[in-house]
Amino acid sequence: MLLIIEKRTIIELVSMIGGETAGKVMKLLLKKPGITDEEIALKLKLDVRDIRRILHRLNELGILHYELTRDKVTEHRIFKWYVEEGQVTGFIITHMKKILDRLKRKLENEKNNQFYWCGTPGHRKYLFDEAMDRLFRCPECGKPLQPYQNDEVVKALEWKIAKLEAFLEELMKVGKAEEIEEKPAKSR
Amino acid sequence: MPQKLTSLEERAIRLLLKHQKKGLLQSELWHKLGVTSREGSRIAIKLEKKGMIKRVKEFAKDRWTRRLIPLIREVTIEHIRGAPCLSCEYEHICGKEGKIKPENCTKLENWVLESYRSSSKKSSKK
Repeated sequence: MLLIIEKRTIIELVSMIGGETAGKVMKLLLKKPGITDEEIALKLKLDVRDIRRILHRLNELGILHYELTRDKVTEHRIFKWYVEEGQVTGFIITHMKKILDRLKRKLENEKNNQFYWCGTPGHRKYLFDEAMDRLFRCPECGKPLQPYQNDEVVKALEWKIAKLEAFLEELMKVGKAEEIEEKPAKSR
Repeated sequence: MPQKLTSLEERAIRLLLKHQKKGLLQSELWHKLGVTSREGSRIAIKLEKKGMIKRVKEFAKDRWTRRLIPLIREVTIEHIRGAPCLSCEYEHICGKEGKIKPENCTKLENWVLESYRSSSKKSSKK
């Protein structure tokens, strides 16, 4: 069994990580493997330093790799960039597992505690002790911290966890089947 | 796609990916692809050799035929689309032993709530 990924998914993923420009860079790299940072900057009409920043960030994440050569005349270093398509699936699965773990921790916390909230979207909720330390006032907006019913948050977390678990389980099945199929081939 | 495929092979795989669990009868696939059975059988054999599908014998529509079952899965980002973690500056220090606790992350909570609400809206429209 194999795991495949569409090019548009890779572009979308990179846009999520590094913004719209990173998505454009990835689109170019998928079209022209081995393109240099300067060629990318020229094509996208952007500063080469910004392009390099994006490329090195994606390289750190394992999504890209480069080949280093030297200009015969100027002796300047030339970086030729390539997409590690095989690594992207691993990157996505790893991050899904990380997010799943965070959501599980959050769900446990939400289920086992009573929260106090100021009602301002984006402001955090506080546990009873934390709220008491702040004299039941939000340190960000000063509004009173009121008991907060978190039923919807709990439902939303349970829903997302179930979705992620089902998807990962399906992918793991593929991995297991691959192992089973590979074993007899090795013993021959 | 991990291996080099012809455009017809790629179209066949895309169609089969839509029927991941049960697969498709080869005649159904040829019909959808608009190719002859001879051409279609060749594609199926090639895809089987590449390890991308399994051809299972089946009695259907009064004759013996083959069901084509995909052995590949597509990795999508559907379930983490819009998640704040991927672009978060604290990603490397967030977690069990990190300085940042996901339990207190408002961005994570808002993302889950928003996707839950939009999914509920979609399902209620249906």
